[in-house]
Amino acid sequence: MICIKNGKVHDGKGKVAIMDILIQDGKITRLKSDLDVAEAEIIDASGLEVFPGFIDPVSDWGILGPGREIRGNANDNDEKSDQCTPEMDVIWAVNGRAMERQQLAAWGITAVGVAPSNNNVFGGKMAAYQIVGKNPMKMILKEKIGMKASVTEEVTKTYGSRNLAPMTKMGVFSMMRNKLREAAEEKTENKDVAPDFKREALHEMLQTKMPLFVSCNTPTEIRKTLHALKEFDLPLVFINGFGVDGSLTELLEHKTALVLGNHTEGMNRFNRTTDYKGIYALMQQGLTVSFCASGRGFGGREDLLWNALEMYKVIGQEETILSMLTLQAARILGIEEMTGSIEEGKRADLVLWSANPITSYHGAVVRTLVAGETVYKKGDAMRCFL
Amino acid sequence: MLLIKNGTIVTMGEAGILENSDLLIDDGKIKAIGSGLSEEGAEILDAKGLIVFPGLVDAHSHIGGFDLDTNADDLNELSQPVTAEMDAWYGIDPASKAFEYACRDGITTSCIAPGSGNVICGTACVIKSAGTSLESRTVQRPAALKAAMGVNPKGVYGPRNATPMSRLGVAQIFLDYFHQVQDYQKKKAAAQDDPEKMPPYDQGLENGLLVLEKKIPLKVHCYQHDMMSMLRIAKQFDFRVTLDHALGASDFYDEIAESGAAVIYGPLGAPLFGGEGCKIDIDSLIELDRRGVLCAIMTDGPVLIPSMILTQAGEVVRAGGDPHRVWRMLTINPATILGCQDRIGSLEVGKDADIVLFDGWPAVDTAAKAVMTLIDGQIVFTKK
Repeated sequence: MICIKNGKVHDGKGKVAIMDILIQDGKITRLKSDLDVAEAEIIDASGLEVFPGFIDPVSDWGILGPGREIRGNANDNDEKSDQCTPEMDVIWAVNGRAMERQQLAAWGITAVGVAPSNNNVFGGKMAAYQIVGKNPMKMILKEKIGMKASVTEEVTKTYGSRNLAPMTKMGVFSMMRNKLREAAEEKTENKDVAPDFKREALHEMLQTKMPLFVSCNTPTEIRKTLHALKEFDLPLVFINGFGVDGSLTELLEHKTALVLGNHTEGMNRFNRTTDYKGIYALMQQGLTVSFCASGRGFGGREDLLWNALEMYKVIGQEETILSMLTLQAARILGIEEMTGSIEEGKRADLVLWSANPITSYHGAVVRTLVAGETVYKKGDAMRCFL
Repeated sequence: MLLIKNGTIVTMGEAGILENSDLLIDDGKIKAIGSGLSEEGAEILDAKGLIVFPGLVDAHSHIGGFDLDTNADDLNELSQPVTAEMDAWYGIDPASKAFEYACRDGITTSCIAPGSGNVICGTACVIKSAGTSLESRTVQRPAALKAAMGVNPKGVYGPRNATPMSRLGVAQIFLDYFHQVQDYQKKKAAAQDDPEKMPPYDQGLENGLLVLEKKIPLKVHCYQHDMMSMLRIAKQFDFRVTLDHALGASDFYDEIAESGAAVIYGPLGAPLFGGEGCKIDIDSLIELDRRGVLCAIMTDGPVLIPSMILTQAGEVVRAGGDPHRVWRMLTINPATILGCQDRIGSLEVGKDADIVLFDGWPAVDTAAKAVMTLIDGQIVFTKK
């Protein structure tokens, strides 16, 4: 048993109070002020801010490295031998060591979603992970949390350059709709025909209403995707969403959520026009929104918080920003019963900060716990050296 | 004339921080700083509640040369690994939107360098983010000779089966080039200004001569152990260097401090790959600064958006850096590294009126934003 005492607890749902947190078997069992637990190991959090662990919902963490020197690395989530690979599953690509090496805990991240790349129309299945462990199979929080898709220029560049479809947006949406139509049809069993695993994967997605995570660089791509997929009635999560503003109310009409991509990189001609005030207005009408560190395959561990700060600068609302980094990301990944807020019954995925990192750069991680285990303490070696 | 009233003036000069003070601008220069200033006919700008800060100086950037709107890539002349005769100035589009974005986030001056695809890349220059013409916006030209070690030149020429494809090749190119410059220098000296005996004019070697004569530094893209290779070469030929990017500097405090080299750190915001870029230690600036090394923070624009110069400075504060020291890394230090400290980098009488008004403490308050930016006394950005 562990008791985190006297910390200023931000629960991720908007409540802030000095509380004690009792942890047993990796879970939060009591949340109360002035808990009296004689037999528990005490962690004194006086003067510290206790946050739920941040969640990076769409990422390459665990894919990169142990790498080569020239950038590019393993690219094990990038099976661009075929435009449609919905049958594939990212769990075969994640490497626990590679995840650990990124030292996400030092930036307050305790869980991540890992996704196939943006290069295929259908990339494959995503999974949610805790950030520590050697055996990636044991790090999985939840499998099949979503199907990754992409309608961006990354697809048309990848296949167009080989003189293959899709080399245009027309080609992308045509392929996407055709594959889904084929998959929607019920097929009679025919033992003489080999099973079509691609079709079956999409069929399963449609049957189980698995969320489709669609990488979109622009509001136009989002609108076209909504139009193209209307008849399939799938929950949709848009990734990147550069340039989204308050006029995109279509997002509210459908079962959608938004994971904002990396707005700190300058080598991106899409990310300058994003209207955070407009997005906040959509959130107030019920849209679920979170951040991710990369979204286009290139971001650092610090980028998740940095992206949140870009929005904070515009809208303020630190508890809302915290909720986007935690509970809303958990909701998008379908793991909100497990983690994403500080509540009794949830995993003890907690971060003790020296000051609130959303309002001050003086905020540094003092301790990070994943399922009640301390995985990082201030002063631990943070530098990767291979 | 413009009179900024009642602000908290962070001078970055000997005067330190002046609460509730005024700053008078005349003809693009700072004419007076003090409290209770008045000037007949001057336009008044109320800065109550705002931080009056020197315009930020980005000591390593490529804005206006790599441009995403126009797809321009005019700073990497990858036709051969030594292009010392190149001048970044000709690669810059002064109308690029990137300068407008820089003004928006308080960066008033950038050192714009050729890219790092070549070993000896060409000269860098110091350019203001706004003004009437590229000529008038130029503060220093050349400001440095840009060079690159490690993966970048290897990655360009290796796949062509050309030198350099390894660090052996990269180092050898440096040695060969500076031997040539030395030879050129000797021939020029022997000619004693007699045009008949002068070696044929060579712009590439002339640029190297500026480095050997210590008129400009060699501005070197280098990480980790490449920094030690460079310091050794710099010692052999006796020239000044700036260590740009400098990831991994925490392994070499003694060596860097002893060398007198300046460190221009960044950018963060990449995954920890294997190899040269994997040791991200921006906290090393705290110790380097303590040891007297001139430190600055770069955006490598357009790699990072301009506001990331403050966010990265915030990371140094997060690691325990004193904000007063960290602010130097955004202002007077880069100005000094670039040889422009007489004009920019601090708010002092006689200097250029390059000023940012922040609505919070930069690199401390995460919400601090530029609300107004002035260059040469002209308002170039106002937050709506």
